[in-house]
Amino acid sequence: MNHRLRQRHRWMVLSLALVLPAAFFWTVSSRRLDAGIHQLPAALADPPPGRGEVLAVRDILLGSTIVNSRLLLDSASRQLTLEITPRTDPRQPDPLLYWSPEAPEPESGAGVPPDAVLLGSLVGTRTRSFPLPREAAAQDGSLLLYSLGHQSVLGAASLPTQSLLAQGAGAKP
Amino acid sequence: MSAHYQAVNWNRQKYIYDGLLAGGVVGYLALFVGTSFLLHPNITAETAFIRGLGTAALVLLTLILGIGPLCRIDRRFLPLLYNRRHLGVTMFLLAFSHATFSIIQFHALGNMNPLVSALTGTWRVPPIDRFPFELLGFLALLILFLMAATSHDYWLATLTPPVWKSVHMLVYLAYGLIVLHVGLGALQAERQTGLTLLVGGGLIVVLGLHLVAGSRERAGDRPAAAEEPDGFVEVCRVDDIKENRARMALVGGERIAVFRYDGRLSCVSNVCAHQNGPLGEGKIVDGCITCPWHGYQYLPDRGSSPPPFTERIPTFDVRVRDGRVFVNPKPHPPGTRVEPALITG
Repeated sequence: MNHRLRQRHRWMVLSLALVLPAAFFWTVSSRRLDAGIHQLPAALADPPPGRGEVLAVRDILLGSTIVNSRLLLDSASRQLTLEITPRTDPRQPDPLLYWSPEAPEPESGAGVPPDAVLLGSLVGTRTRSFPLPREAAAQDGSLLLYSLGHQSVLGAASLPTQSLLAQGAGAKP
Repeated sequence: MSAHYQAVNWNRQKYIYDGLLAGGVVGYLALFVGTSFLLHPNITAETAFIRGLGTAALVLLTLILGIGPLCRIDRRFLPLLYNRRHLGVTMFLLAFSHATFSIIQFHALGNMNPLVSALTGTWRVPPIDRFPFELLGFLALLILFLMAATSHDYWLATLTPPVWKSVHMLVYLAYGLIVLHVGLGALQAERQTGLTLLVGGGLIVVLGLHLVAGSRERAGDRPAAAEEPDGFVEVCRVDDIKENRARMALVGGERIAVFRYDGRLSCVSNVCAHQNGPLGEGKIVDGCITCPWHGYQYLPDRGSSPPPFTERIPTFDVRVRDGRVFVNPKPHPPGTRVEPALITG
């Protein structure tokens, strides 16, 4: 009986030795890896720097993250661009920046308002420029820091574009 | 070894073994989570912990599968084998925790039953990265549960060692499913060099050790020399057997062990009644054949454990002629006393 078990054991190990390395090699070699943000060409990873005159330079507190911001206006196209440089890495899973006409109270589990517009990812401390939606030029709104991993809004700060536009170029609150 | 039922026969060795095991697991998890935060600042604690549990289970399984062949290759690893079942149960608990927390983290936030979501959520093949790898992990977990639940001498005695061993051989199937679970799951989502090396390296180690140990074992499975007219077969020379040690041979389709002690030779089945351990790889301690796996003991001329223990194994007639050892392939019933052969000259 024991001899038969040993024979079975031998065949199992031999089968495993033939099949498993090949199967594992196949799974690793045929995987489709999506490029991470840090692997993309710079032109794709970072939107081109904003152009236009500086409307405002502010430090904004989004949750526990302080970001330096510059609001730019391209007078030819009337395009508002927000240039953001986080002072520290938000260190939250999948942090995303939204512009929203509403300002929800940041609380655990709070979702993004349905009319919020995704600006982009806020991973790391690189400077990046986010073109704001057209509505931002017509009404005040808010910036939201949302963690996709936590599925909750981590912080919100008002973005009073109306008053900044009214103050004109060079306003630095 | 106990004459009475006890849930776990705790002794100093088991306390040390389990203490080291618990410390090792906690230390590994702390190191893994800490390193994950350093290398991936955006990782959540939950995800780091889930990955830590999964890799800890994989490391333990690799170790568990390596212990058997390691002991065959080098006897100094035998202490690792002594309490291997506790390793197995710990590994199951880690794998179960990994599965439970994964389902809560990744499948419990929707409006679908989390189990249904986990087992049906990615049924889109091709592409390969949509393979339902969770199902592979689930099947492996079922096997590991079956093994953990029967990792006790009660089940070993109830099922009988051959059936119990057949069930526990399913660990190789579970290992294959887990390798594919990782390959088609975590390794599809990210470029995890460390995990790739862990799985690939573990695979090479496990299979390499088994192939080396298996090739050595194969030599012991060669049938003994031709039969004598009275049915006895020659198994070796007397000088081939060291004092208080044994020589194994394949006789009548099964392995036997001929022990040399106090100027005598006795032959018994090579299969320990406890867990079918290889008695011939053990030695005579205090006048008893002692199994190298868990220390079960047998009187060499009787094939029975010293009182009050009740284990018994088959015995064989043995004789010496011209310095050569002959064994009758026909076994006596377990526990039958056989007169030892005297070594003369």
